[in-house]
Amino acid sequence: MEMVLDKIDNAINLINENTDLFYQNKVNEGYALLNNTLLELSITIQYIYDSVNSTLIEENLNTLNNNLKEAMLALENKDAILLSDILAYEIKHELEIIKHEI
Amino acid sequence: MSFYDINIESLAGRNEMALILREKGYSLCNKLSKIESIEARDHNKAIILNYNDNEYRLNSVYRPIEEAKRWADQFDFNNINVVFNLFGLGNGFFAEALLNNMNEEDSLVIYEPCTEIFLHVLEHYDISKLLSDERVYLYIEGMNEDKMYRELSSLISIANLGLQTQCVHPNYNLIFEHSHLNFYKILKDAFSSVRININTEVILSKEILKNITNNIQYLQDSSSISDLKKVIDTEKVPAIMVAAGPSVEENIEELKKAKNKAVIFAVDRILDYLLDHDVIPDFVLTIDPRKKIEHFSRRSNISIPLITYLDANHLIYKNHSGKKIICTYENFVKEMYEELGKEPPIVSATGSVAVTAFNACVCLGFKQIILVGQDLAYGTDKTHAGNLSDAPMEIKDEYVMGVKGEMVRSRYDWKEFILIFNHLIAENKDVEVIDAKSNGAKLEGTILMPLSEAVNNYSHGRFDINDVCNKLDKTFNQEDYMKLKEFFEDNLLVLEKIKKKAKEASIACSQLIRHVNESIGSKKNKLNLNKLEKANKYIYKQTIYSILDHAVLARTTTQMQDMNKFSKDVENDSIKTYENAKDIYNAIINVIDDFYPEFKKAVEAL
Repeated sequence: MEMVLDKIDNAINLINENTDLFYQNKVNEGYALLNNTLLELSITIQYIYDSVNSTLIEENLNTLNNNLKEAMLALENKDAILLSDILAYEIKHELEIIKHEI
Repeated sequence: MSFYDINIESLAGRNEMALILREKGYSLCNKLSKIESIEARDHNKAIILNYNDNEYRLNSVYRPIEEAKRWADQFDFNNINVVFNLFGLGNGFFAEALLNNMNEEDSLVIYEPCTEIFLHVLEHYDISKLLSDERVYLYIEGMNEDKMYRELSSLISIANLGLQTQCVHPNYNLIFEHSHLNFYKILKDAFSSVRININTEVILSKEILKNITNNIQYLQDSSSISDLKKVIDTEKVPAIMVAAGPSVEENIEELKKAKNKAVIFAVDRILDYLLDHDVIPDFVLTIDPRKKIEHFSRRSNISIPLITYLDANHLIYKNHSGKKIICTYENFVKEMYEELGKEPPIVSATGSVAVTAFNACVCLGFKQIILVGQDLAYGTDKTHAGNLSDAPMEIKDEYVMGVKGEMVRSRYDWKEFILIFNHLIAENKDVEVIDAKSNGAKLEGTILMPLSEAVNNYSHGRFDINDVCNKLDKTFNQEDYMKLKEFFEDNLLVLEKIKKKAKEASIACSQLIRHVNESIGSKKNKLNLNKLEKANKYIYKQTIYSILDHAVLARTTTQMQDMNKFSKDVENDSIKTYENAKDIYNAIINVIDDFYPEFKKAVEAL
């Protein structure tokens, strides 16, 4: 379980770092880090699925997946601020809830 | 009260923007098809706009205030007296985020490229706190952006030249690309201009003090440009400003014919060329503290009225037998006139006598100024009219836009003067500037016109310099002159006191360095800090210090540049601050030691 918590913390840190870059208008650096952030998020979600009793956090995981889809849409539209908002206030929020539930 | 009324009220008294808004004296950018503010998730507002058929959001739709705060976190707020230059006002959230972190001594220059956004924000947001903040300088394109260059230049000094911080409101650089470039151009021009002025003042600091010392004797019989303004009619005839570019040669016959139909100002070294060709200007200008006398004139009997600064070369003053008409750009001489109840004759200084001559013509009230010989580019085989030339110097070539639409070869320093001219002409919209040359660098905002046509069009009367000189009074009568002498004698005492305070402050700095490990609140440190505060309060309040400043700066450029820079290492910052301060106080003492004896002799001889 500690591994899951570490993974979540790592994902949150990456979200903080990535969104800082976008909010500070450092768009190129933000996009350069984004691959890593999104990859880590995917791995973390998969890890949660595999390691945790998903009935406990099923709704949160569904919300997380929907948020990721919204984030991808923002990315497609090159809306770095909306992408950051979704990462910072939706995805990170859900991860913190999941962490608390675990 | 509506948001608009609250905001307009906060603008009143700060600048002319309230007036421009009331009289609708602005132009729109006309590319916005939609602008609206929507409610974000945190119940603050976010701006959405449609520009050139693309939709943009200027704020987060989740938490715009939090977004602005995180954006501002990237900037360094440890230093003081910093000028933050922000491209884009938006709804003011990003500007507020900067202001919340800035120190009291910092400034925030905001450039908003779209009038419609500004008008929308005035209607839908309460930005009165931002508008009334003394640290804020706001420029709206289409409204008052022509003021930014000069006002920004006045915020920058040697102490904060390296501390300029450029910020861009998110998305503004994408939406307003052209204006973004313009914004950076104004910043670059202002920095260059300040840097040139600082360098000039540093190089000339010794000569400035020597010249002031030697020239105060001529004040008794002098007039000022304020006196001249009262007696010169600038409505019926234009000014012709003759500089030393090669195109003067093609205009020399027309200049002869223009005598008495215009007021002819000879800029410095062109004087001899004009006199050699029987063109007698009405005024001649010189400002350079180090101008060689042979570069002013080889003649020893020049009596043409001389418009000049008090710190111009004293040998030229000595050699000139005519009326001296004083103007000033600095505080000490300004105070001298004010103390005697006279209107201070302010004419802004730049590194160029031609630009100063332009400023003088504007100050006198001319509404048409004809430029002759303002080539600011190489002619086919020469840089100046006749046999004139500059001393050989390593100045980089630059290419600039020419009057015929082609790129022409110029010089780095001439390019800077072109930029200064362009800004001045834009700032003085009520003055028509005619450029009477067929080749050379293009000056924005000028009307290209041959000299003969310009004189025919704009001259509606007759000008006689003798009439003007007969009416032109001396500034100081006998009673004034006695008060003038008292003014200088009082300032001798001030110099003695400045030196005493600087000595005390230098000792205090040494003690603060020695006891840096003790708490700042310790009795010893408190006492010494108090001494520094008192010394600074006294020294920098004295206007005579303004003429010493250049010389102090010449000796302590590195220390001045570091004065406002801080890191998070408090102890090292403290030691560095006190060491720099001590060097500056010692420089003040040395400068006074050099200046005082000769200045005292000159005052006693008045």
